[in-house]
Amino acid sequence: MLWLCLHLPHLPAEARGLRDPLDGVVDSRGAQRWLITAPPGLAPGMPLADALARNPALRAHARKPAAERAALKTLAHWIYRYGSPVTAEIQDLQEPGRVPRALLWVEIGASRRLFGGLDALRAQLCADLVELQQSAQLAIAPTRAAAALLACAGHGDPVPEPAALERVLARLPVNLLPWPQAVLEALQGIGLRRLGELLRLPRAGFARRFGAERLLALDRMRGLAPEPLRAITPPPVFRRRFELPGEVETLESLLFPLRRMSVELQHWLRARDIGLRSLRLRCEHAGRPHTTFGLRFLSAHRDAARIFDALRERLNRAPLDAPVRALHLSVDDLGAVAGGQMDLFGSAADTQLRWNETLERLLARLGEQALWTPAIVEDHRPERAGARLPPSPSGSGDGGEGARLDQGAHFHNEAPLSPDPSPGGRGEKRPLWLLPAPVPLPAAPTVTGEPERVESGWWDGADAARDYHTIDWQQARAWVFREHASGRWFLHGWWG
Amino acid sequence: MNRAGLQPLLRDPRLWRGAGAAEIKAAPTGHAALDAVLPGGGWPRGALSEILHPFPGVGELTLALPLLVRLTQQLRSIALLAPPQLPAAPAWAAAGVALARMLVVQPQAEADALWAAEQLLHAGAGAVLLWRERIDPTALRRLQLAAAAGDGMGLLYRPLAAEREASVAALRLRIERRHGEPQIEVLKCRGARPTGRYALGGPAVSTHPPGRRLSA
Repeated sequence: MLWLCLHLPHLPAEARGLRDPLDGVVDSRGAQRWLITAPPGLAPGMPLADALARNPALRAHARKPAAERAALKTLAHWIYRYGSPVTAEIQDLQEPGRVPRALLWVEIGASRRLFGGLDALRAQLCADLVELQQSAQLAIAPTRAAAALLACAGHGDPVPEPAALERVLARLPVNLLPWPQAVLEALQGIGLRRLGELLRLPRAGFARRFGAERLLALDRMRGLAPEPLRAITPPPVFRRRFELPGEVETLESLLFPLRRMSVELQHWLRARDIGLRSLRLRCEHAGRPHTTFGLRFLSAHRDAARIFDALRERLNRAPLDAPVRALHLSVDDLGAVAGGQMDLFGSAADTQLRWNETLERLLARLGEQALWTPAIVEDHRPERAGARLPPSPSGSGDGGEGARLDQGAHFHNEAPLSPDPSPGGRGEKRPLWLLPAPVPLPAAPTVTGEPERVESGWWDGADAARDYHTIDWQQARAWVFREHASGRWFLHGWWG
Repeated sequence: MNRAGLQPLLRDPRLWRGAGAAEIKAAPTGHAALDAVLPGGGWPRGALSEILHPFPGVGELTLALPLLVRLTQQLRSIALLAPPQLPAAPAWAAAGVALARMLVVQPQAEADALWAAEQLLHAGAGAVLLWRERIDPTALRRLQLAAAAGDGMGLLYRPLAAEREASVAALRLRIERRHGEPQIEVLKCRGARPTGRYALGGPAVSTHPPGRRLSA
């Protein structure tokens, strides 16, 4: 086993969304209050009264353990992509002056080769941390307890071998151990400063004096006893709520949480090895119904930038009409990611991907009604011979016309569609431009030649009995018809 | 030196001039008379072309149709932005356009059409056809850059009145129906100065006296 441990010293502040350095989080027990995060110039564990005396500008915030657990769980889902099992713990001693330790472990012994060695894995993980804007101390050791201790001590060099572990542990100070203050004081009282001195004590005597569980904890740290664990796995559904620090009115202030949620969603999708098809964003307002909208992607993917882009364009299109208190992002539909996304030389797949992303941006900004791909409906009436299909990735991919017809969203009627008409069909005699609705002509035009007669629709209530002619009208070529019933003339298209 | 004799020679697209621009990449328009006079032999690729027309129905689509047919059959996408009328699907299909490669965009706001055109050109659309009443020079420039970036063809349909405005477009054509036939006049093109009117699919029908376009 090889464990990578992240110690998150600023988690209490990050979980509360506090980013200002003058904000400090405070834990309390009875009347005692002490800092558990470290604003500049102050040490964690310092009593609040002392801290305020040193820096009166400090703003103290109470701790929110539930938010910390939720934030840690989110990070656990993120780190799942680096290996498994994953486990996390907040070591909280509830003693005045002691700082809780938020710890996150992932077993990387099995996956280190996949990432190209320990250094490459560590570099990628650090890049992810920067992207998440998450501060952390990192350590690698064969046991979880040792990795945690090293992470808290700030010992970043990997210690992959058990033999080296003994040497490194021996140099650590005793008061780093997550044990009650009374035990640590007793150890100091008998002159033990370093872990090495502690480990050289006779085992039986140590167990009698300090308790068998302390000896067991030391054995676990050295890899002499098994460490039980409760593994965390990503949840089957993705739901993420982001509570904003206040009521937010501008889109700019929403971009940070949106970006963060997009990245988290990307990690969740990667951990589950699945792609996103559609999602739902709910904006919660104070004292009014929520605003909810959905976003559909043309192809399943797991790209945070693409998710974020689509969300931003959607919010750009229709600004929210009330300040937002919280955002809630959930996944509607998932699908397998098409192969070729990771192609090294796939320029065709690349172009395809760029095209899909652009269409999604257009759909998000202009709305689904503003974009369509024309299709043919078998109907003699010109105004019913066309249908609008939602633009689909197959529109620029290779073939796949058959699949397109299943997703039809807004057809004009139920008539069968044929996207590939026989050449030389009716379309040949018809103009490229069609007016949205026929326009009455002021006078009967002079026509020559045989008309195209359309008599159709008596069965569905849109009866049409017309003679179509092509005329030269005001220096353009127009397509006009005479309605049999009324004898009136209408303009219906242009020969573009 | 006989100036009058030199001018037609200088206007010939086959004449390579050392100080002139680099080789022009072009795609055939599919209309023989027009291809013969345009430098590179057709629509400039990776550039913006303008088509000035008085109103729909003068053959402005027939002009672009051979290009659109070829692009869609080569599996490139084409987009119609803010078209003045509805494209009738059966007629387009009968003309040979693969409808699955065709995208129609009808945005609510005018500015969105420009934005969409730029996005689609950047994304590598084969051709983007945009209809605009008026367009400012900055927007023209952006479209031209987007067409160059995506190596696509931007076709901008504008009213005849736009002829007086300067434009960065690589090619400017004017199309009108005279005597029942669509006729095309080249107002501007990179690398040459052809003058005259051309019928769609036919030979040149008339020629201006040389120098008229130069003074215009």
